[in-house]
Amino acid sequence: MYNQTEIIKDTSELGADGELVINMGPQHPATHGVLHLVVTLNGETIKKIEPHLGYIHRSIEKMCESLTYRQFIYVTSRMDYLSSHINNLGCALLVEKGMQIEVPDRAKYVRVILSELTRIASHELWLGAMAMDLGAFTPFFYAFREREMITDIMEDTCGARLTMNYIVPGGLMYDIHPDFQKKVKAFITQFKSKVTEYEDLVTNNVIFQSRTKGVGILSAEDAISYGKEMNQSIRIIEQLIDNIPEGDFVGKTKNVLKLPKGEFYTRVETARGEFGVYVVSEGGTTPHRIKFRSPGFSNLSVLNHISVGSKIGDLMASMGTLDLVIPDIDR
Amino acid sequence: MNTSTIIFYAIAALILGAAILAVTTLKIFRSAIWLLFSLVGIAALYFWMQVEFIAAIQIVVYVGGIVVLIIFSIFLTQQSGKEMAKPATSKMIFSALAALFGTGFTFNLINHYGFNNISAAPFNPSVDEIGMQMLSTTSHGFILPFEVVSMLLLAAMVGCIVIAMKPTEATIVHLNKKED
Amino acid sequence: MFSLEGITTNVQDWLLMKFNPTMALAIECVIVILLSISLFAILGLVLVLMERKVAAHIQIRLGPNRVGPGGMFQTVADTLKLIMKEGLTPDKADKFLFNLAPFVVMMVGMLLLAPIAFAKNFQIWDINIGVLYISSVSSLSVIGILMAGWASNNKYSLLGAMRSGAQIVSYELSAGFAVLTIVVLTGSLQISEIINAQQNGWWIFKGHIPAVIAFVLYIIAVTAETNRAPFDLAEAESELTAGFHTEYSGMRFALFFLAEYINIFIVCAIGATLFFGGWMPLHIGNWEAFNHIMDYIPSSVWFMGKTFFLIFLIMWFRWTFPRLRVDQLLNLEWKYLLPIRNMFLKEYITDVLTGVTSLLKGMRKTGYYFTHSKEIITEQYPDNRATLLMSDRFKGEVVMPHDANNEHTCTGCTACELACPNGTIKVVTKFETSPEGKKKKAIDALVYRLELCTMCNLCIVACPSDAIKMAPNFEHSVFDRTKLTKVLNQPGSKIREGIE
Ligand code: SF4
Repeated sequence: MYNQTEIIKDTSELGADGELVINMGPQHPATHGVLHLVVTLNGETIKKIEPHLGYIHRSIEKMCESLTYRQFIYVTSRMDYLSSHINNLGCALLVEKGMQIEVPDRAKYVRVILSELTRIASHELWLGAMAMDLGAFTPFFYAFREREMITDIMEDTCGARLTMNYIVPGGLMYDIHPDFQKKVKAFITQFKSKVTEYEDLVTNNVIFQSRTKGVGILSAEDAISYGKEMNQSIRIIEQLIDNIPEGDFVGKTKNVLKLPKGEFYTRVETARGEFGVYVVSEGGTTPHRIKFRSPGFSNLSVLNHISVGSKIGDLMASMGTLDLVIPDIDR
Repeated sequence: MNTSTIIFYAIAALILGAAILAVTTLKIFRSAIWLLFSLVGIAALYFWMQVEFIAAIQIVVYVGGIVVLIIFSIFLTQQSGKEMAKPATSKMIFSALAALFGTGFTFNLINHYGFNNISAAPFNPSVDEIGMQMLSTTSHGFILPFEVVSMLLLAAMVGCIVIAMKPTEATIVHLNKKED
Repeated sequence: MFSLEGITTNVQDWLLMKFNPTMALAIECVIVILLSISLFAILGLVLVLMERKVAAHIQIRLGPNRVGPGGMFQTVADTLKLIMKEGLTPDKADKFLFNLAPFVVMMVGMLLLAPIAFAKNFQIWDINIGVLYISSVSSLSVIGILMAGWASNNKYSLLGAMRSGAQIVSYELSAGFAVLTIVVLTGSLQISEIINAQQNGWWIFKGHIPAVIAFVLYIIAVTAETNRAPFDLAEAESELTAGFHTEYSGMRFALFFLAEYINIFIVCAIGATLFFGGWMPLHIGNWEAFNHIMDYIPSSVWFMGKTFFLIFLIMWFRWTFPRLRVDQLLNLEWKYLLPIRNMFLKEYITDVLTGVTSLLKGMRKTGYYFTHSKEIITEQYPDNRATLLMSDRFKGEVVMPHDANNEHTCTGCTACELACPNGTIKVVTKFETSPEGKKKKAIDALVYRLELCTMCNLCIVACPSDAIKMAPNFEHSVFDRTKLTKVLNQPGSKIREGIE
C-alpha cells in the first residue's frame, strides 16, 4: 500500500494522459482528521489512491516499551479514541492472561456492558459522520443526541467521556455509579424509540441508498451490519444490565506487575474490527517489544482496491463505511 | 447627440474593444472571456434596438451555449494555463491585412447603399408572431429552413456521439482483425 | 404593512414633470441601482440568518443567539468580519479573471432582478419576453463560476467548476420545460400578464396535474441550478473542500456567498410568480366575501410571503437530504426529469414513487423537529454555569485537599510520581527538623503539569495516604501555558498530625 511516491511538486498541470493528481488531506473535510491520500483522477473517475501516513505518528508502540504494565494500557485510549474502552480491555486481558489474574464476575459484567456501550457510541458517530460525508448534516445531530446519553453514563461511572481509563489489570478502577443501571435502561428505551428516525433520514433515503449501493464491495453490507451490530449490542446490554453480580470490582493483584518471559497475544473486537495486542516480555516490569494490530490500518489497505474505477463521491462513501479513525491508523 | 446615441456608442465601443482583446490576448481562456463580453455587447445592442426576443436568443445561444462549450473545451485542453507564444511577424502582418481588407469591404458596401429611413409601420416583434412565422407554410414561412436546421443539428449530434463513444473490446478486436 | 403598489408610476410621473426625459431616465437609473444594491444587502443578511436558524431548529439546536436579540445581528457581524479580512489571491492565479468572477456572478443576479414584480405595479422593467429574459440571463451565471474555478489555479476549484457547468447547463432544460408549461397555459411570456392570468386562481390550483408536475420539476431544477444541497456538488465540501470558491476569501468570498442567496431569492420569486400568482391574493371561485378580505392584505406581503415559503422549502431540502453523486445528478435530469430514456412506464413510476416517499419521510422527520422547539438540546454554556451538573467522579484535574488548618496528608513518598506514565507529577522533598530534633522527610512542593496529564487516575490509586484526588473542574483554558504548571500544596501548609 505504502510505497514512496515522489511528492508531486508542480500540481498545476494535467498528468501524462489527462490524469489529474490531487492531494486529499492532510487537511481535508472528509478525511476525518489528518489522513493524506494522493488520488490520481481521470476526470471524476479514480485511477489510483495512495494513502500517505505519518502526519500524526506518535510512536505509541515504542512509548509503551518504557511504560509499566499498569501504565501502558491508557496510552491505547489515544489510538482508536472512539473505542478506547475496548482497547484498554484488550491490553488488560493480555496482562491478566500473562499473569493468570482472576477477574471477579462483577468486573467482567461491567466491562462487557461498557464495551458494548462504547461500540454503540462509536457507531452513532459513524452514522452521523457517514451521513455528513454524503452531504446530509442533520442526522449527525440526532445521532449525537443519543451518543450524548452514553457519554453521560461514562462520565458518571468512569469519570471521563471519551478516554475512559476505567480498566485496570484484574478488574475495574472503582465500582460503578449507583445510578448506572437506571441510566443504561433509560438509554435503551430512548435508543429504541429513535432508531426509526435514522432509518427515515439515512438508511431508507433513496439518495443515501443509491450513493452506497454497489460502491466499494463492502459498503452495502457494512451499512446494514452496523445497524445490526447496534441492535445486537443493545440485546447484550439488556441481558446483562439486571444481572450484574455483587462482589468485588477488582481482583487481587501484586503491586508491581511482571509478565513472565515469553510472547503474548490477545485480541478483542472493537467498534471497527479486530484489535490485537502482541507483547514480547523479558520478564521485567515493562514490555520488551509491543505491537498493536489496529483495525483501522487494515481497513485502510482495502481503500485503493475498492475505490479504483469509482467516482470521487464514491470515495467519500467508501471512506465513510470504512469508518477510519486516523490516530488508529497512524499510531 | 441624445442619450440613445451615447448608449449606442458606448455599447459599440465595448463590442469592438472586447473583440480586439479577444484576438490579441495570449491566454486562451481570457480570449474566450473577451469573446463573451463582445457577444454580450451585441445582445445589449439588440436590447437597445428593442428587439428583446433576438437579444434573449443571442444570450441563450451564444453566451449560454457556445461560449460555455468553448470554455469546456479549453478546460479539457492540456496546458491551457500557459501563455501562448507570440505569433510570427509574417502571420501578424497577414492577419492585419485581412482584417483591414474586411473592414474596407464592409465600409464600402455600407457607404454605397447607406441606411434609408423607412416610413413603413413599426416593426412588431411580438413573440407569437415570431413563432407563427417560424412554423408557417405560406410563401414567406420559415418551416423548411427550420426543419433543415434541425436535421443538421441532429446529424451533428450523432456525429458527436460517434466520436465520443469509447470502442468496446469487441470492436477493438474487430478492427485489429481488419488490419491483419 | 406599507404597500408598494403603484409607487413606481407616481415617482416616474413626478420625475417627468420636474426634469426633461433624459434627466428623468438618469435619475431613475440611479434610484434603481441604489435600491437593488440595498435590497441585495438586506436580502443577504436576512436569508443567511434565516438559513442558519432553519438549520439550527431542524438540527435540534438554537442557532446564532448571541449578537443582538435572538442573534439578529449575527450576519451583520459576520459581514463586518468578512469585509475586514484580507482578500488573498493565489500566486499562480489569473489575477484579472480571479477578481472579475465574483462580480460577474453578482451582476447576473442584479440583471435578474429587473422583471420581478414585487407588488402590484411595482416592477423595474416589465419586459415583454419576461420569462425568456430570465432564463437567458440566468444562463450567464455559470460563466462566473467557470471563471472562478479556472482562474483559481486549484484542482478542487477546477473540478467544482466543471461539475457546476455540467449541472447548470443540463438542469436549465428542465427548468425551461417547467416554465414553458405555465407560458403555454398563459399564452404570454410577460410577467405582468402571467400574474394577471391568475386572478381567478393560481396556476398550481387551476392548472391541475400538469402545473403540479411542472412545479415539482421547477423546484428540483432550480435547486440544482443554484447549486444548493442536495445538488451542491460544485462546492461539495466533503469532496472538494469548497469547490469553485476554495481560493476565495474576504469580501470576494462574501460576494459568492451573497450571490447564492440572491439567486435563491430570485428563483423562488419567479416560482412564486409562475405557480402561486406573484402578488396576486388568494381568490377562491366566487366566494366574494373571502376574496374581499384577501384583497385587504397588501400585494407586497403576498409576494414576499410566497417567496419566503419557497425559500424555506429549499432550505428544508438542504438540511434533510444527502448529496447526489455527479453521475446520479445527470441521471436524475436525463432519465427522470426528462424521461426520454426508453424505460418501462411501470418501472419509471415505481422508481419515482418509492424515491419520493422515502424523501418525504425524511422531510417529515426534519419538519417535526423544526416545529417542535422543545426538542432542542442546546446547552447554554456559560450561562448555565449555576445549573450545570458535573458528575462528581469527573476527572478534570488532580488536586490536593487541605483542611481548615491548612493541613494535607501528603508524606512525600513519591508513589504518585512513580505511578504516573508521563512525568506529570514531580515531588520535591525537603527535610524538616521536628522540635525533638529529629529529621523528617516532607514535601516542599508537589508540582503538577496539567498540560501533560492524561487523567488516568493512576496517581490517585497509588497514593497510600489519600493525599490527592480528582476534581471536576473543566474550565482549563488560559492564555499563558505556564499557568498550567501548578503547585498542589498550598503555601505554608503542612502535613496533618499522625500521618506517616
Ligand atoms: S492522572 Fe495519570 S497522568 Fe495525571 S498525574 Fe495522575 S498518574 Fe499522572
